[in-house]
Amino acid sequence: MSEAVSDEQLLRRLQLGSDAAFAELVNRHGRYLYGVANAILGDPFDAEDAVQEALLAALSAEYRGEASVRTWLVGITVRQAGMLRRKRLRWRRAAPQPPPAADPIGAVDARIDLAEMLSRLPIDHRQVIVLRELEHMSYEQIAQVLQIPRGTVESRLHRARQQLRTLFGHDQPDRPAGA
Amino acid sequence: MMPCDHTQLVAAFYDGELAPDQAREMAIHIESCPVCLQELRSLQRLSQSIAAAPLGQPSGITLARLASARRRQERGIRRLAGALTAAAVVLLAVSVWNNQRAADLSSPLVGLDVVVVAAADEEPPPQTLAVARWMASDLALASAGGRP
Repeated sequence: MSEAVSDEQLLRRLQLGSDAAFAELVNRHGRYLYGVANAILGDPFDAEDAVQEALLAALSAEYRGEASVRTWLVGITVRQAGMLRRKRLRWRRAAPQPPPAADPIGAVDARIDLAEMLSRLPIDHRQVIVLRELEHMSYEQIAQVLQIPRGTVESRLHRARQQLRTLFGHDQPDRPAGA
Repeated sequence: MMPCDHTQLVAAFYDGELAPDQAREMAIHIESCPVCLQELRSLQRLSQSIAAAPLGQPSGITLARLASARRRQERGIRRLAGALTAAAVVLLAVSVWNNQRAADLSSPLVGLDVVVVAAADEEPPPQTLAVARWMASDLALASAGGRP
């Protein structure tokens, strides 16, 4: 299937049951969706499961054209990743997160991938960081995708950024002496 | 540096979430406030770091599995539908036999060992009974499988 076919057309064909359209959508966006899911879940197998669930969910989900097809798929993937993590936690009683390092890790090493970078954040913070920083979604859009209040988006984003800046040694606003 | 009450608005400014008037005021403020300017630059550096961090890449096998996910799901649904149909046929057969046996205890069951899962406590209507008898005799013949 050629690139001349838009993502929107592809999605329509996909929702009419075309296997070829499904495969082409994976060809175009599968790598990116996997990267996003892996950044949130930090596990290649879970990432694959989340992307698969997201793509299958896209078969029957309504695309309203408010964002690009890719961004729409990212939203579904991020939501599926959150659901998958909660399911895994219920099943496995996953081991607790390692405590954050006492000292900043230092400047971000180019070799650190996004999954490692976000690995010390709670999953709901990873979700808002990915949607805001990679997809540049508005707070309102993030709230819709994650089905949480806008105020919760703001507070999660604030805490996630604070934590990342502490971990990776980005400058903080100077605090007054004795404050 | 003295703290600034506006610093908490820098993230919303940076994310484009302030109303146009508020955003203009904030832009002017940041030019003259080192605390807010530092906060803005910190957010920018963080965004740059996140954008520069590579995303994990799927293997070719993973991509192939993803590309075939729909087909595999369809196959699974067809298998399930087949199993459900078979189960429905078995239940129907058991029910028909049960009705026949309740109606005519002298009629022999031929050829199948069937576990009766529901007792026929009530007499079925005559039409249903006729259809059930017909189906039961058909199924009994089928179960005999051409045996002499």
